[in-house]
Amino acid sequence: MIQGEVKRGGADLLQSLIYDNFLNINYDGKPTPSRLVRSWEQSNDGLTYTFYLNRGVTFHDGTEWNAKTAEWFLKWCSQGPRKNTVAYSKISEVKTVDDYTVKVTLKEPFGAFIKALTVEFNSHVVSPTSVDPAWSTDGKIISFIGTGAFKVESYVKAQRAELVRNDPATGGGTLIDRISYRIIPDSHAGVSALRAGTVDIIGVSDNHASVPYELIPVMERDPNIIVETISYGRYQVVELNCREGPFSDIRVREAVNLALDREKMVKELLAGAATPANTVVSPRYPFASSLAGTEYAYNPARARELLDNAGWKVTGADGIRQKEGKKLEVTYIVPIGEANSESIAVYIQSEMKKIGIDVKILVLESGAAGAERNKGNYDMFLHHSYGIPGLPDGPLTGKYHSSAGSWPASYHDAQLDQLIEKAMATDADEDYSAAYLYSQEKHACMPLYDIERIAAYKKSVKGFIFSTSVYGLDLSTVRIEE
Amino acid sequence: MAGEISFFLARRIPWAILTIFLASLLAFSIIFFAPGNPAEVILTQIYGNEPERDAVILFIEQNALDVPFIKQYTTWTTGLFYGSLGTSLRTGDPVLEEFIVRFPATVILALSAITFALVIGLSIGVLSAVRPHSPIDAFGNLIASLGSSIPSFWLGLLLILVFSIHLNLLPSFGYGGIEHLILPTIALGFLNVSKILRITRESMIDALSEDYVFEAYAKGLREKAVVIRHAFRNASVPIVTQTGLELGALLGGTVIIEQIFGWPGIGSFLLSSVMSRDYPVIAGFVLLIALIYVIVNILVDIIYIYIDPRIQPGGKTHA
Amino acid sequence: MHKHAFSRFEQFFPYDIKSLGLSTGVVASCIILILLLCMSVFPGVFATHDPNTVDLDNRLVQPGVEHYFGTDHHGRDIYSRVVYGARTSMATALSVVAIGVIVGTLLGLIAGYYGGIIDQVIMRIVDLFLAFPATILAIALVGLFGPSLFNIVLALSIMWWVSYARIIRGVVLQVKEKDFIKGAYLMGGKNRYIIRKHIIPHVLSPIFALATLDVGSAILHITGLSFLGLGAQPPTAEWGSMIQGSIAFMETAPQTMIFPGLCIIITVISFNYLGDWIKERSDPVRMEKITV
Repeated sequence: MIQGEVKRGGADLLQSLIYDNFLNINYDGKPTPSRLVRSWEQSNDGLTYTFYLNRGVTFHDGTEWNAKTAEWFLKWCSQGPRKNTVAYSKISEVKTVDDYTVKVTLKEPFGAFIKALTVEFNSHVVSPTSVDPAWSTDGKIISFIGTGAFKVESYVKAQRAELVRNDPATGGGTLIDRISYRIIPDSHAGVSALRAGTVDIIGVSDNHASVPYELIPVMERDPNIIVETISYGRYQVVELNCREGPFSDIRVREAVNLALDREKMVKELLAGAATPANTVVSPRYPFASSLAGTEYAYNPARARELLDNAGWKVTGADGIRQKEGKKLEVTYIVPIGEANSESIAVYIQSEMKKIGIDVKILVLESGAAGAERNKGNYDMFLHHSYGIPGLPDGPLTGKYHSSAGSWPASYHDAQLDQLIEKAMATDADEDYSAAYLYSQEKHACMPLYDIERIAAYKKSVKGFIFSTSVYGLDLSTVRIEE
Repeated sequence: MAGEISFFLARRIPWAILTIFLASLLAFSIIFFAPGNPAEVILTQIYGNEPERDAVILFIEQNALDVPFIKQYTTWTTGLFYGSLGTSLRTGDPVLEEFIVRFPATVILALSAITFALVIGLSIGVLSAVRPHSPIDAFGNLIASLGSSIPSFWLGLLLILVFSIHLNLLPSFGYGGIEHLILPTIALGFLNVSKILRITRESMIDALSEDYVFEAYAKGLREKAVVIRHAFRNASVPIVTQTGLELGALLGGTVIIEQIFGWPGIGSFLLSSVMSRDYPVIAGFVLLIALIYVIVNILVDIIYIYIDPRIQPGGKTHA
Repeated sequence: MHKHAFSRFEQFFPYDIKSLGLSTGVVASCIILILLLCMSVFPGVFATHDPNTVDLDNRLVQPGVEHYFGTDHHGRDIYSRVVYGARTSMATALSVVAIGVIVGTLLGLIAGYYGGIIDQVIMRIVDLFLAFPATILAIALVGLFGPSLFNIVLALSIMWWVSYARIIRGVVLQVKEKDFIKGAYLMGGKNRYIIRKHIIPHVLSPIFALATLDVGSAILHITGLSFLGLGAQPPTAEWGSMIQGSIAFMETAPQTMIFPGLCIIITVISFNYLGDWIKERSDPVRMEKITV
């Protein structure tokens, strides 16, 4: 049994069991062939894509997967409920070439088109018979019919789903016969359910850390529970207002980065389950290898020196620095619902106080927080940055390019724009790496820790592996041993 | 009596409808004028990251979020006459469906809590009134004081700590079986126990001090008969009123308990909709909750007429 | 007016102590409330530690000599946070009730005294608010305008005045029928004078009783909303948000949850005892039954 919430049409991990992706993605974020698509070609002008389909795949209701269904699917993506996906809005026409080949023409070149076909919530392939009216290209999904390893036996909204193995799809790969899926909205309740033995596995159905790190020690003490974590490179970071206020000074940005004891923070507040983040993105990826050696190390003495150099001096008895009669006070916006946000915010506040910065925490409902962010009304802003598949391009185009609409006050300059544009054009690791190195040198943000995905399961569950994408769920290797 | 009731309904219903509409307008405007853009919040929730600008614009256009308030509200109210409350921006399903799917869970919890409160509150209340200043009265007093001062969320956590974690007797979450219902019922119903106990004790003491009770005793009726047949019947009017009011309040007041016990009711869904500014859901749910609230109150008044014919609707007595 | 108010005071505290019906519970409640009031005004005197100092080397310490109630997940002293939390809870709850009393009394007086169309309009507004589930509106308001104690006070005050307006109106209607008011009219008294001289003294005691009972109820509402994460901004010490922060640790360190909860209960019980006692003492005009 699995815990999680079903969001129809959203990033719903339960659906990964029912549907296959049009294309897959590997652990480094590169698109790969899937059960449905054997290979693809892109024309030189970037306008047409040809997809070669696999043979012998059928939907749960027997509908065959071939060029006809693929053509319908791609048209449905561009005209139906998924039309608000930017990549699909670029599709101008879809044509069948032969029984197992389809050709897509775009209105204009769009580099991220192939990648969009790998992201679960956009690329789950649904059957033309599962929309109403059937085969209509703007139909609404009315039942769960896919090509995936499991099919839906029953589904009670907001409560539970029962899935059974779909034999033709397994090819002997899937080992469990049925899945009972329970929707447990509260993560603490999920942990209690696992400990009480009501469910077999929790956490796998959420792309963020749905199991609170604080509860990991409790679960690890239980001899019947195994806890596993995996990193998809998604960093929790504090974005800094580099446009105005104290953080427009690069020395202040560096100072706050050196004043935070990330090791201790992760060890004490996150139960040692997460990894400290010391760079803009994880240096373990080839597209960020240049960051190796630039990691921040805890050095409050150097931080104080930097603040002194920047003109912020301790004068009053309260220990808060001043410059030209103004106190070093900053506003830290925390959107509600960010994982572990409260405990980390209080810790950052106390660490910053030690070097003479007065941090005012402002917890806001996520919509209100977003409105402030769009206007640049903050000094510090808590953000879960991008992970695979949002890397490598996400942080660069989404936050640090001057055209990034949601982050007008992030670090921007003409040189960084050039580096980003070059990386987007070439899609080459060394170009991404150069852009990331530049933003790290400018201390564009304050990385905190790697938000790892957590799964916890009973000892009797064997062979669990995380899927290669943060939005996916793969139970094909799982078996239950009593 | 039927005439009385239809007269009463004719007076109450137009006002009730007006009230409900004003309530919905209030709800709709709160959400509409609040800062932040629903498109962005919802897309962020779906994709896990801030959406691209183009995606936000597409979403706004497709969901008609850029039209002025009056137009959006008018579209919404027009829909009401066709039985449509709009579509949830988050799930893409009709608001009414979202409500209907979750409402039974909330009703079950509220009914269970009120039943619990009635059983405990009535029995201790009657016993306390029959034997004032006895140990049972003292116990009743304690329950009443605690019930009105323990925060339900704290009691809920305490129950989970003791009965789920330490004793491992009852599940801390879940929906379906009786065992899932016990802890949330106690946590939610304890405040109502206190209220029903107090009002039962007060009205029973009043009733027991009436002349006819002494007459009944004088006629040689046994105590049990006097208490049940005479005093309790007369004391029941305020108790029924109180119970009705409590039930109405409970239907809109289960949010915290639903949240703690992971109960799949309307309260926890409304809370998460508020957090993502899914305003068709918020406005629709508030409208429906207000509607139910008003209906429950009217029903209480009707029951009132039945159990105590001396009372005219509106609360005036002409004894 | 002063003379009259003084006579009300005498009615509350006549020299004959025995006739007051002071139970141990009432005396204990008064002592507790005075203590809480002192804590709220001078928290520094009672606290042993700074309530916001984070000390990760001393997380989740069990209660003892150094930390009376132990420490929380940030290593902060729970006892000191509870002391500072008293200030937060008292200040917010008293504000909600005070705003409710002022607005409700004013509208209730106007409605009851003038009657007619004014009365109709005010009472219809009261009905509207009664048809609106209080928790739901508070959550919507606070959730949308951002979590803060100010917004909680605002959201609850919007709901809170209604019960006062109803009760005051009822009392005014009864008082108006009394001969001495009719007499005052006949003698050509001005409206303001009649309200001040004859009506206000009569509504004071029911308001006072209801308000005292309501403080407890307001504390429960405020801590509940804070528990949902809609209240105090961190690191402000507030009982409800302290309990919320303790959920993950309630098994390993139950002190993080138990003590703030006990404080809420003791405070609310004290206000309820005192309120009940005042209600029994002061029944000059037969009040409509007070159920909150």
